[in-house]
Amino acid sequence: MATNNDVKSEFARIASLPFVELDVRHLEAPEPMKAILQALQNLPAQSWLKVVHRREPFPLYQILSENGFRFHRQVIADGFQIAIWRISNNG
Amino acid sequence: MNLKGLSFDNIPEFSTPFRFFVTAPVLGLLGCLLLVVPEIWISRWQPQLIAMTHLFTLGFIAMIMFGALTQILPVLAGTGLPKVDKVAPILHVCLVLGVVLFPLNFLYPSSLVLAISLTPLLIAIGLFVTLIGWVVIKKNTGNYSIRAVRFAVFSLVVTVITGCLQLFGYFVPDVLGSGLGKSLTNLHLTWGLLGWVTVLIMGVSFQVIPMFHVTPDFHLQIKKWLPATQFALLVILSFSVLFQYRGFSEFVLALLGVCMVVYAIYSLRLLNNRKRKVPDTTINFWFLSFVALIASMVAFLCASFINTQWQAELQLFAVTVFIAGFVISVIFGMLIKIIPFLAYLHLQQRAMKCFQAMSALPNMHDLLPVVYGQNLFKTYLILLPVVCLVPFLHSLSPVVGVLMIATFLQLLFIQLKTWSAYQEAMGQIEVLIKEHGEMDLTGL
Repeated sequence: MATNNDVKSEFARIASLPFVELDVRHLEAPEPMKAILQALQNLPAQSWLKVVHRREPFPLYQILSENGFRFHRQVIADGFQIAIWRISNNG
Repeated sequence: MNLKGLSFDNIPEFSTPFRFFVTAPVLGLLGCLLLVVPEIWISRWQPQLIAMTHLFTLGFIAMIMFGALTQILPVLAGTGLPKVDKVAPILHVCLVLGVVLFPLNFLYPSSLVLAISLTPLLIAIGLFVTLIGWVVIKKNTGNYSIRAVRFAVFSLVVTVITGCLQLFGYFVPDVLGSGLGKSLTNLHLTWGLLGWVTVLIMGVSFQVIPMFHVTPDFHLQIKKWLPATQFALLVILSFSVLFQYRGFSEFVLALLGVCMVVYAIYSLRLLNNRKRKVPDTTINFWFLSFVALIASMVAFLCASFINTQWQAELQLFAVTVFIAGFVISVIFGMLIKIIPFLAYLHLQQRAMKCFQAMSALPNMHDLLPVVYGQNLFKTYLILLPVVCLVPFLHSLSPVVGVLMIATFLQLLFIQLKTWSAYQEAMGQIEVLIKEHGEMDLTGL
């Protein structure tokens, strides 16, 4: 697993790339996970997904880690903002 | 991002919590058998009533809570329990043995029965406390649910200690001073129901109510102070009981009652303010549970502070409605939500390995059809009023027994159907993965 610093510097690099935004705060579990995985399947190359979530989606983190994605999570006023990108294309 | 403390390898197999979930109604059925004797309701000290209470509190309630915590902690806090898939089967077997044998202490007391029954029970509880305690104490977190679990686990330890002291006092009367036996029973009951069970429900509800029902979040001050206050009041109560400050103990008990009424009213308000008011059986169970909690606390306060000829019946009513109305309602509501949810999570995790396998992914309602939950709620709606009456009308006891058997059988059926749907879906996913091969999504 990449260190926090690796992920931070990777995120700093990809932050300037185009991104797709997905707000799942209004969805009940497990719909947020479904929507995020669907969005990841359709994510264009050389771009990243910006997810706005009410809570920390720990099970999602596991799925991302096992399937070649990296993520960077920030606490925002009413939840969490999670940036997700593919390792092979951007990392 | 801070990944410190997140452990992705410790999320247990679905079978780990499920073995606890599916055993619970079977042990509940054993408790129902004791209800055929109406005399058990004569007083709270009837041995059969105490035996039945332990079959429900240990066999049904603790069994579900132990199982749920093995899987809920990783989902809520990103922290798995160490070697949980290996330890859980041992814990489960010991708990089943302990639960089945333990009530015999009240029906056929002997030091041999005590030794045989207490050993597996204490091993099970000891393993659970070590596993959960290790995680929740180690995890330095701002997560208020985890903090509540800490208080709940500590309350469980006090419940076990006060229970063991009574059992040993039964065989070696000199261990307990005169008059302390009844106080210890009250403390055992209070720590078990208002500490272990209630504080755990509080902590879990802080997360699952907003997560599953898109309600506003619990207010930060409620999450921060309510479980802590409840726990502090239990500590104060214990000292005032041990030092026999009777008036002060009653005052603290009243504060505990108020604390829980605040929790119930606040939660009802939150559920009422949910954004998507779609019909949902789990919501119905939550509403019913909080109303039952308020009714139980009002009865408890009346029994404590108003001199009435119905005092003993009111006390029994308070405890009965607390367990059968509040706790069991929460558990039924949560089970019909989290069993398909956990099954779905595991299926999704596996299906991610292959694009084609995603098509075999069922939705939550395929795993547990809505109508099953609705039917369980209807049976429970028939059961609950009869349960409320039985402390006053003992002859209703066999009716309660039959209705509870129907309820537990229905729950068992729902769980087995969900397990079967899960296995079927997993089989289809595995076939597709075998056919098309595992795929790395980075290659998309």
